[in-house]
Amino acid sequence: MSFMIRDPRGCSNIGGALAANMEKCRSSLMHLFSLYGYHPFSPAEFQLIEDVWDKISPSRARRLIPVMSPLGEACVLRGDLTLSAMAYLAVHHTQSEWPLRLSYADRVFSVPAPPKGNLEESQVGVELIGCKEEGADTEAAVLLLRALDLLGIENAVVVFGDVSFLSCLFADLPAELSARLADALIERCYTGYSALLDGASLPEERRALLKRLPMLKGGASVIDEAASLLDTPDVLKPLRRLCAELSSLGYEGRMLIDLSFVRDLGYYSGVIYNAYSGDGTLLGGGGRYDGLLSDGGIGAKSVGFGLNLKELASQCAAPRQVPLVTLWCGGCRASEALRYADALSRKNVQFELSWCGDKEESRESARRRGSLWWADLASKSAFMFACGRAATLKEFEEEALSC
Amino acid sequence: MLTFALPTGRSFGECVQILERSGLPVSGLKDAGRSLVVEEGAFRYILSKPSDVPAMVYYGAADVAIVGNDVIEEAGIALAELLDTGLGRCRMAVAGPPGIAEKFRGEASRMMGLKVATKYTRLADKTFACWGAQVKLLKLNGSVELAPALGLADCIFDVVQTGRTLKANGLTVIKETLPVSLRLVAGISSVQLRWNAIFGVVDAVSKAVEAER
Repeated sequence: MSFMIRDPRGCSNIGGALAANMEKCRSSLMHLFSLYGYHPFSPAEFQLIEDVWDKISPSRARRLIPVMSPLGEACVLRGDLTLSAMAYLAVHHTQSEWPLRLSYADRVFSVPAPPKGNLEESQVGVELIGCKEEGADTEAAVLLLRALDLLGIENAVVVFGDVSFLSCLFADLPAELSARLADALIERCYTGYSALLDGASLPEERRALLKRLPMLKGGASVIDEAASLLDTPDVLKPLRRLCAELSSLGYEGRMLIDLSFVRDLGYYSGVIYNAYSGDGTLLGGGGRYDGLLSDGGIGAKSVGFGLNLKELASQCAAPRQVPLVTLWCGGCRASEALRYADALSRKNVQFELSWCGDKEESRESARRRGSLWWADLASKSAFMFACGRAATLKEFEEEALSC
Repeated sequence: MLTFALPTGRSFGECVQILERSGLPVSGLKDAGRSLVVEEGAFRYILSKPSDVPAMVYYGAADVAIVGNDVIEEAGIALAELLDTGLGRCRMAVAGPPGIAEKFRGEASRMMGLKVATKYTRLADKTFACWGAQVKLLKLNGSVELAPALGLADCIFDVVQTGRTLKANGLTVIKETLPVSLRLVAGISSVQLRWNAIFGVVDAVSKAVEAER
């Protein structure tokens, strides 16, 4: 082609099978979420810098993409859907309407972290906000696993950690050391974590425990191993309860525990998780973020997750969508063709209209595009490509539309 | 099978030695020739240019790798750093003709506008920004030490091991920054999903490193 309209670096137009797959994943998941009582939510594209900046970690804040709105407000392109959900909740719902269940399928924008180069990512997910009772964590985790099952990504694994466990573990340490240890774990710098402990003035037994616990990763039995090392094993109660619930639902083989798991988002406060496909691709994650509500003086639970729609679509192979029939409209009036097309659409039949003037060209084009049938509405004849058989339009309807 | 990425070049021999002392199968590595993938027992080794190692681990082509922390920092790629092997010790440093050292004493404003030649533009930018100085970076892919003599730069920012190359080019170390050594790293997804397999390697290499010390 002689002209070219380039995408800005970090952006891409997605079409073809991947786009079709993304739409299939999106609609399947949004339907699933609606069955569980989640209401679709359409977030604003811009967020005010002043409202977002102090609610996420500095490293995440630095990756926000600032823009000045045409109305003169300092904004960022939406970098986080959870904060959008919280903003919506604050303005549109009173506490008497809680808990609020929101679902979304939209884009988030951020400066890419190397080696990635994409500025935008399509996410689909849920937020359960303002739940006073236990059970919110389990609801969200089960919904995540159900979502992956629904898309046929059944060998997916969810890795769980607990931010509150690490907070308890570091609680009696000097504040600066505690913060630096948490930073080392966020960066997954185990050598730095270990060096910090070596340099700290701590009883040898305590140092060994702090070194040992983050190294515990694996199946649910890791929780028992950690509990046996702790004076206060109750700090593992939220994680233990969640794992027990998921095990009783048959998900034991798809859970892993990582006791050093911390997110760099800054607002998570309890159980967190990452979902991976069988080949180790990160599909998304989520967790508990009560802190965003408690900052506003509200004591309630909030939990949610987001999944990368493009990765989901890449993981589940949907069959190629081909039209059942190509309707050649060249030999009849447009209104007549569209009336027939309307009747097919009401029967949920996928078709394609061919306005080509040449009958043979239309049929050849239909064959190339994978259509199963080709129909000439003027002569009321049809042709089935698979066996090269000519038929009447009535025979096509009887054979192809009967089921 | 666990896939291990190893850097080719000057670190390769040390990597093979530490793996051998850790009890990992390395006979194929010692005789790799031009092969870039070597399979031995339960391990697959990928031999790669050092600067490509972080991306290989990040994208899951390798579960674990040995690579210098200078390379990791320059790539800016988030990896799990599991162990400092202590091998290949050197340091990142600013070096230049003796006369330029004065610019590095006192206020950061004295460094402003310096022309710095380096292979490590990302790390240099970060380092000078930490010192509060904005400098002009010149990206060179090799023979960085030549730049001051040719008038291309006031100083260089590079890895220094013995300092002999610097001396041969009339340069001295002005300011040392990051200590560098070979690190055992893994992808974050590998750490979360394949920890039991990875931990065996970490433990074995850790013991070999301790024995060496």
